Amino acid sequence: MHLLEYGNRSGVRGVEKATVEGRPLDDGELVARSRRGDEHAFEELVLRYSDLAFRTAYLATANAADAEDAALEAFLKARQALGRFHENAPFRPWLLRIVGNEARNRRRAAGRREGLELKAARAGRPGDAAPSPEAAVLAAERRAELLSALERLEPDFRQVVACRYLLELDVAETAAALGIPEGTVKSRLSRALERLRQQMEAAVHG
Amino acid sequence: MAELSPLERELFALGPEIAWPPTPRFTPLRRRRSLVDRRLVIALLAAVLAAALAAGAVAAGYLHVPGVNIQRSSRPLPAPTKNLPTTSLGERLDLGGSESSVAAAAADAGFGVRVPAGLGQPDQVFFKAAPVPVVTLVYAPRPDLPAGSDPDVGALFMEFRSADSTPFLGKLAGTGTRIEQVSVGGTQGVWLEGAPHEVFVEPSPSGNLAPDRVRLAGNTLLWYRDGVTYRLEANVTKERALEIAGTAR
Repeated sequence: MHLLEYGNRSGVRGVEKATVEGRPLDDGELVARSRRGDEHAFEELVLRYSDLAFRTAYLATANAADAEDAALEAFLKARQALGRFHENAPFRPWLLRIVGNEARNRRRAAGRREGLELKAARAGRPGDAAPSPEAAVLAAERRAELLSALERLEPDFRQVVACRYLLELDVAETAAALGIPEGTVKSRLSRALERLRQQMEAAVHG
Repeated sequence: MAELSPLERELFALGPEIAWPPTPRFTPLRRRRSLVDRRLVIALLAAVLAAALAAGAVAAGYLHVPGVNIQRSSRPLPAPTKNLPTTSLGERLDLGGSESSVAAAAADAGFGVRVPAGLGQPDQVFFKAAPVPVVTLVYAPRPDLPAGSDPDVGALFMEFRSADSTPFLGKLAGTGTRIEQVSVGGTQGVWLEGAPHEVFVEPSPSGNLAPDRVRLAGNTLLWYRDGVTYRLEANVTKERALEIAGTAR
């Protein structure tokens, strides 16, 4: 099966650097400039967080068009609400909270109950040592099993795992994106990991 | 920070491997008028088509030929990149394995394969078994079939068994693509012309179209007859495509 390898425009951790005045600006500086009416500064934030916002929304909507609408609306609302944003607060969780809200609204409006389907894109990352064919097959099988186990998790568990590990959100960001308390994130993570572990063990021994 | 368990390490390693749908471009940041336009266009198309098509042929938000969903994108799609013929044709267009003849492909597919007399015998035949059996006839470029985005292809004629409930192909048509409802020998069809459109292949078990593989397609005619969906992709006019389709018997 051919799997598409999507362009890696920027890492989800926001590694794409803003280059205003030739040096990367951190989120706080970009937020401050945006609040002073610098459109370019906010667009830098949008560029920096496009992948993360879109993928976070996609985890909730399981639909790319809805995720696009949700992320776009979230950026627009964030820009509008920037005046109320605490300047020293972290931008990421604040944005993720808006994205999560927008995405859940769309999912509810669409009345969808679609399962999220995630696929692995490639057999290895660039720069990885080329594995032997056997090792590559085993690694691919293991990945496929893990993805399949993830898909079988209940939606609440799957989302928390996907946010925390696949998108590499921290606990506070995961809580913001999912609109749940941090304690709930931790307890769901713990139970989800236990279920995944059991499923993976069953796959190995079955 | 607590040490990561092996499972957690595996999950973190899985993140960069996920084939996420391509992230749209959100800058310049503005509310897209076309988001509203899109809904309006879809509503109008649905209203027009609902009268013409059999019940169930128009899914909400989609133009639909059995086996194929067509969704209008709110933005133009990126320009096509030329496929470089560094891999085999079947591989780079995801057509499956090469077949010795149309008859051999038909035997594998389990349905009668039509060859459009207007195109003649194909230069290559491919068969792909999953997720639904698909036979593809490939015609090399020639004066009446100029090459499109792939230098080795003048026309692609795909045939696949389809059930209305299980779309196999999804198409995302950008704002530059014209979509037109047409009649192909009395049966419903759709013509896509202009800017290339993306083709999504494979439904997920939940029925979602998964962007498993995306490629850009040129002018395309889609129609459905007797449980089989036909797809002709060629760098030709609508009239010529309809003429060719009329010879597929």
